[in-house]
Amino acid sequence: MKNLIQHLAQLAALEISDSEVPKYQAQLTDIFEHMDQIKQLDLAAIAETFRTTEEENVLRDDIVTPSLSQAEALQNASLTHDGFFVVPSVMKDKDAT
Amino acid sequence: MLLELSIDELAARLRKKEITIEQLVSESIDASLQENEKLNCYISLRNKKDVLKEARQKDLEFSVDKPKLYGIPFSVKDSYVTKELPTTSGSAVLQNYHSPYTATVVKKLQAAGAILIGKNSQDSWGHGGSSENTDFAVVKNPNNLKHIAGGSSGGSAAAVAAHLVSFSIGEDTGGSIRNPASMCGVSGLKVTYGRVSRYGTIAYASSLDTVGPIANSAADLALVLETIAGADPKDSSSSQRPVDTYTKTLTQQISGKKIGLPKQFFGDNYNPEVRASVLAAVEKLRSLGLETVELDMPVLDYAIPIYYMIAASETSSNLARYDGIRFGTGRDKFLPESTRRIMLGTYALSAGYADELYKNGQRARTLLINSYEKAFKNCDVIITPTSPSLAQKFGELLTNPIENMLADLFTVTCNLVGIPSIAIPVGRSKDNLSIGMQIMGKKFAESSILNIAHIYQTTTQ
Amino acid sequence: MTRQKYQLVCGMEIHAELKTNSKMFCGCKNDPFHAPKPNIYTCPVCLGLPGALPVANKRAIEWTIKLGLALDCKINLFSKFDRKHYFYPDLPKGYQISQYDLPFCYDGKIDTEHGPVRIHRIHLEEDTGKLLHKTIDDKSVSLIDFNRSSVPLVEIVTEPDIVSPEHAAVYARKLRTLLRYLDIANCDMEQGGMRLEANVSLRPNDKTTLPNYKTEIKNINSFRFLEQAIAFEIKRQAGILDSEKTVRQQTRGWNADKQATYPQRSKEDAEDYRYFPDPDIPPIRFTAEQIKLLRNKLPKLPDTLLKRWHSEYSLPHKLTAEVLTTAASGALYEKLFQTAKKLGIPANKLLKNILSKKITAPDQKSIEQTISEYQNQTQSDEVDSKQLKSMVKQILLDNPDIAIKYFQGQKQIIGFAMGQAMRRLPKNSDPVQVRAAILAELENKK
Repeated sequence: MKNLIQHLAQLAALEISDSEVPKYQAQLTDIFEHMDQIKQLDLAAIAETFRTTEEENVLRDDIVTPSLSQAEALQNASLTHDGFFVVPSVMKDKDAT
Repeated sequence: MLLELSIDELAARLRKKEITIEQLVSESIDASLQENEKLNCYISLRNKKDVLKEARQKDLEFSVDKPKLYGIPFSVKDSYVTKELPTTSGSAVLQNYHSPYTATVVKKLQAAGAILIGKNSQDSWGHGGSSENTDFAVVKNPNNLKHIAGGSSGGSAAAVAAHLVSFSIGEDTGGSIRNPASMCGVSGLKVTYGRVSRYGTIAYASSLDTVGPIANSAADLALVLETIAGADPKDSSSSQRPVDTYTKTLTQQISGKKIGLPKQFFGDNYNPEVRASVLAAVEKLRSLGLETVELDMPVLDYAIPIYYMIAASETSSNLARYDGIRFGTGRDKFLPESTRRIMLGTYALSAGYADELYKNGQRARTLLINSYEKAFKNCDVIITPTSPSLAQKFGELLTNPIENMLADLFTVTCNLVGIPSIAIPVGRSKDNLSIGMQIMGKKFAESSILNIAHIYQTTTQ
Repeated sequence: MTRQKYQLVCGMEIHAELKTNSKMFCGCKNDPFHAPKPNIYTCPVCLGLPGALPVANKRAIEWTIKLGLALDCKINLFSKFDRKHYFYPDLPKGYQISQYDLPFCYDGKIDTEHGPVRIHRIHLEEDTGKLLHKTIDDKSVSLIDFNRSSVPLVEIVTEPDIVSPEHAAVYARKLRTLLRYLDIANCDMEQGGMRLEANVSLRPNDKTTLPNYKTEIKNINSFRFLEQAIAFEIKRQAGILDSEKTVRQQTRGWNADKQATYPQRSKEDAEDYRYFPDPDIPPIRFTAEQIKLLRNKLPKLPDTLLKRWHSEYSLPHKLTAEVLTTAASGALYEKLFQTAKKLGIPANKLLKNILSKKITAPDQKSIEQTISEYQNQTQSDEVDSKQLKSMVKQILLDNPDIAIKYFQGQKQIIGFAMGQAMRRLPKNSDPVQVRAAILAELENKK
């Protein structure tokens, strides 16, 4: 379970410190147990409902509409440079030839 | 106070030149600034000068043929992006976020001439039923300051209950409009999925999120809905169906209509004062000529796990964009409640579990839909309490994740099924806390539930 | 030697950006390679801003179906978009809108000179932003440009039918030709408009089951590199298998300088995309009639035209493939060859002159211009008529069959006589003049 908590945190890009793990572990165990009630239902032959909209084929024509200005696009970013968004280098884990 | 009057009445007085928009808006912004100190129902308020300037301009341009919402002050939950004020969704993740665009619902209201006053407090990301799960000050219940205002649209309901604005736009994913409306003693409408555009609504769970008004009466709700409903080319899940004229059908004859009462929601496992008040309101409706029929809907017992399975899955996805690169502060700022929901959703969708958890949730959702379809063959509307409990004291829900989940028991099914539901006040407890009842309708039958709620409200006043 | 002991098992995944006017889920301009500045073709949708919602581009969907039909695929009449989750700075929403279990197209096939390749599926998705790596103020950083974010991207996945490095390259080239021919993608390899990925594994020659591992070679941006990378992997994996070790399931890249593949971030263990249907985008449903309509609108495909041009005008594929770049060019050259035939101009020569740029290509001006330039050019090579006459006489003497067959009504024998004459004449001799001389001499014999 401890591993599961850390695995889920990693998948969800959340940082959960070792000291927080027991708390989340206990709470999520309770919640997972509560969720398990669904298993009492006979769902074998039931189709999923992913959405309740009755719409289908709602598509747009291939027409260009105005974009944001570069300044608007960048206005909320914590770090920018020359019109780019900036993040710490990702080169370590993704090689480029 | 002007803001205690209905929108219809305000519109009439404006037309008779008995009041000005400036007067109305001035009352709204002054009261908002003052009461917010006590209630914490706003995260941000517009500058008084700007608001009054807009009001004066509207007074100049006023004519009798303007829409009824022209010059009417309103607020929105902070989950709607607006160019005017920051948008936070109640979270430090979005501290000082300024949206470069405005949500469709706000645009439509502004186009009709309504005047935005401020943006309301909420549980961050819509995650909660008490508005305590926030990085900002916690909303207090205007009826009793020691109690919560409900959530997640707690600030919207409190602002309307305290008559700071004529109406507010809330957001309802599992009860977030109806629950606080019930706890603050005002009316709230959860619309049919897709009836109002979601464009510009910060997503909690995309297949459940709905945009709707909170106001003092069903009549006011009808007026606002007429303005905000309709297809939006920017929201492909919005319905293409024509919009009804909800204000025209408010006073229709309701006798002979059938009310369904699901026995699963009228047991003895929740607050007896709530049950008694709701049954008294049903009795009142019977005296107005409506019939009742008991419904047996066993799948309702599974509503909470079904809802959380789906809502958590979708929210884990919707909140993935908050990486702190293009906007916001970063993922370390999510509060524990949101962290839990993201973790639960990530689990439900993860390899090896998705079929058993997420997909079974969506299968069980089908059973719920079938159950409601069958129920609506025997009745026109379904009535249940809005919340199983009275407004709690601060801290009671926040520390208990499971209790917090169960607070949504009566409301979540409407979101899973996609049907509309109106929450209206039906009484007060011994401690003067509001009690709410909800009337659910068939898909796109907003006119029908507004109609019954309006007749109820006008005959009990 | 290893090549004899093991057999290559290889399938490919190829991504190509569609050249629609606007992006896949918003109205921003789809022109990332020519954008004068970064982050100028973006909006709330493709930046993944709070509250924004995607609306799918109709033309991108139709083009995907068009490609599927051209590759002999079946079409899913009911389809949808799904969310594929992973975190990376160039992916603004934390998920990519893609297609999981119901791709638009599946079960297709393409023939190549090295053998057929079955198409497993074709799906439509959105591209990511682009990362640039730099050092600013002594810090290594990555810069992000979202002009490319949400550009429509088709992914064509094959079955593991590829049997050699050459086969892979031929398949990929042919796919690029088709994408360009259908006029739906530019496939600019250097810019990343078309990206190649090969899944490579080996099995002993006597086995027919699929190997229990595969190596993905990712982000290959040229056909030559593709061939080299697969050849390298065959050797590398054979070496590992020879020493009775197991080959690691891995993602590898191609280093062109070192002429070797190298292991990339081994993210296999962490990969869990948590796909689910995107609730923001309603499903897409086609009727069989709509698909039929799209099928009818499909132009004559390159293979069909190439075959026709070979049988009708004796044009070798090698020449015609060069001018058959789009459906429009196909139609234009078809018309040119027809006109040339009527005028007695040999298509082969005409095409050679166009390809060597001796005359203007028909798509630059007009068919008439091309023909007239050709005629002018060949006229300048007029053969001395006395010399021609005596040569033709000699040919008819040496080959008495020509006259006999001609008078029996087998007029096509003229072609043989033409060939004999042209061989003895200098290059660029006017065939119209030669033909006339042969006919005149035959008439004399009557």
